[in-house]
Amino acid sequence: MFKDIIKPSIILFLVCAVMTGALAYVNGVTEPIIDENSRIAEQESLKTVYNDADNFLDAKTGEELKTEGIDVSDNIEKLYTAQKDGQSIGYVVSVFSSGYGGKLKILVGIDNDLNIKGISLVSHNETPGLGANAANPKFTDQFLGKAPQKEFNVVKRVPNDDSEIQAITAATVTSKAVTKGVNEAVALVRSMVGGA
Amino acid sequence: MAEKKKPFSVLMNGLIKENPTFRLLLGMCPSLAVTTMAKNGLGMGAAATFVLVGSNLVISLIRKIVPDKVRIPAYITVIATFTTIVQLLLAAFLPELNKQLGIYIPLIVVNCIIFARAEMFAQKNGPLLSVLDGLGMGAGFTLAITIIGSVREILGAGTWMGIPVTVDLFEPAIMFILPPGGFLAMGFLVALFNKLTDKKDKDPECETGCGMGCPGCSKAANGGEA
Amino acid sequence: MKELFAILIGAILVENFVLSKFLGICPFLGVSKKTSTALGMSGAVVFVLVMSQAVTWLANEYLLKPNSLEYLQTITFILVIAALVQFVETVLKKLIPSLYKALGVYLPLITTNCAVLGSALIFVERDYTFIEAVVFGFAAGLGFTLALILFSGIRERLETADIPEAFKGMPITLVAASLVSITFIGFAGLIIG
Repeated sequence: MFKDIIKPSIILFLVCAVMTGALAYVNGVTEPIIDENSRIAEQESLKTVYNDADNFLDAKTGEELKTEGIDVSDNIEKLYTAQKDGQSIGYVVSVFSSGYGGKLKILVGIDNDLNIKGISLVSHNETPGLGANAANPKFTDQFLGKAPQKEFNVVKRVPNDDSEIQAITAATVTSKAVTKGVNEAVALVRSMVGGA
Repeated sequence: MAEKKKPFSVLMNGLIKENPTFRLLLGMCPSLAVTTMAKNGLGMGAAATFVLVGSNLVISLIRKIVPDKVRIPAYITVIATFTTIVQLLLAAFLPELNKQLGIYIPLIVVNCIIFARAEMFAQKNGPLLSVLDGLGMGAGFTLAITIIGSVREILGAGTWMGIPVTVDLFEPAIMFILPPGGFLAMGFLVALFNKLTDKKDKDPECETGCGMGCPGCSKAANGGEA
Repeated sequence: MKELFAILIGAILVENFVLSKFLGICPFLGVSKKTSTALGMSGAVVFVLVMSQAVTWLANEYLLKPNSLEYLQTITFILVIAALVQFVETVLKKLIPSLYKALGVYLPLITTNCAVLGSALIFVERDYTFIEAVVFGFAAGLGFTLALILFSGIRERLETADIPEAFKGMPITLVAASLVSITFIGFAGLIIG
């Protein structure tokens, strides 16, 4: 009885206990470092779309904004307040959009006057060499510095006005997805600053 | 079975003669998934070697006190622990690589190589030899997937370790970085390896679910487990 | 509902586990020689996948998350999977011994099938709900089945083809896999909007 069931179980338990103990130790040591890495990475990625800002306040999620009565698209993930010298100068919105190969995540930096400060394609599953080029400044720079009155619109030729964005050749779906995300981000910030 | 194994031959075994990737055909999942760039292959190989050496060592140390009945769950626990340790270390100190390799890091725990070596070697040999076997197999794996990664990167993106190499020689074929390219590169490299090492037709009996590899057989030969 | 459908189609076609995500390769390359074995293996994998997704999701949600033990995910998940496979083995042995015998060695090998653990890791990464996780597992299994069946057909034909010595066995299989994989890339545009 002892040899057959109890002993093996005890040994197995001991092995698990020792291993888990070692794991808990390593976790304890690495956890603060990992958390800090995440925080730094987040701040850095926010800065890439809002260079002028020196600090970003903790994000409010799309859900939280909804409970505050703000009209928020379901694709909005988070809203960060961008600050400079302690003053709020704008926002960074992280928004999802459906691309060619799945979900895209886009960061959009927008100031209080609704000028687009920066755009970054944070994660995507688009085709390398085609849709993936939406991450390049060649495409995203088209949005910069604009404060559109109406929504951005994707066209397949050279744009006629500020609200038109030229699609990437052979990657219209991705181009449209990014544009849609930007539009939703702008709409959110518009609600936040109380504009029309 | 061999009695006194020479440490050096144990170490070298995993590099060519029983190269886990090109000969034993173990650990196919990561070999195909992360080899889009040479750097990733190197990183994955190093991580897997860490787990391999660690688990081989511990399993070899406890092999005499763990009853056969609970052998499998015990080994799984050990391997999973080392895998998680490498996960945490990477997340803390090499976050970029961690992001590149993604879920394939925790998937090291089901990398057939590790379990196979535990069963085939660590269970039957002392700690020193087991560590050497781990190092050898790990090195063989690292070498193999770095080569695969290099081929795919050079042909698919024109760079090696991020450094542009082909320049204007030819237009890189994106296909190599995509899944089909992985299969293709692996297929050709295994064929090349076979040719270079003058392989004879292997024993068809050994073709089991682990992709190949008599190590896969032995797990089942022990009559199912736990 | 639309979300679930997208997950279903996605995992089967767009990001087919074997041909796109490279999960479940080991048994894929080894088992797929005969269509009958392939079917049996796939069935077992789908079954284990669905159960494992359910159990690991529950374990993650009610055991690991509340106690901030996320770092124990890998170890917990793999132990759950190993236990499930063991359980399936025992049950099959008692209830359907013929199937148990037919699957033979492939059954315990499901434990090391990257697809099973991979599916669990993915639902964590994507923060799926319980239903989403289970549907995803089911879909992943179907995708695996699809790839396996397609492949066993190809391999059966390859048996009679004239192949250079160095390519015999694994290499030619991999090349064939590469061709099947290319066709699946065509599905990439399926999930839009």
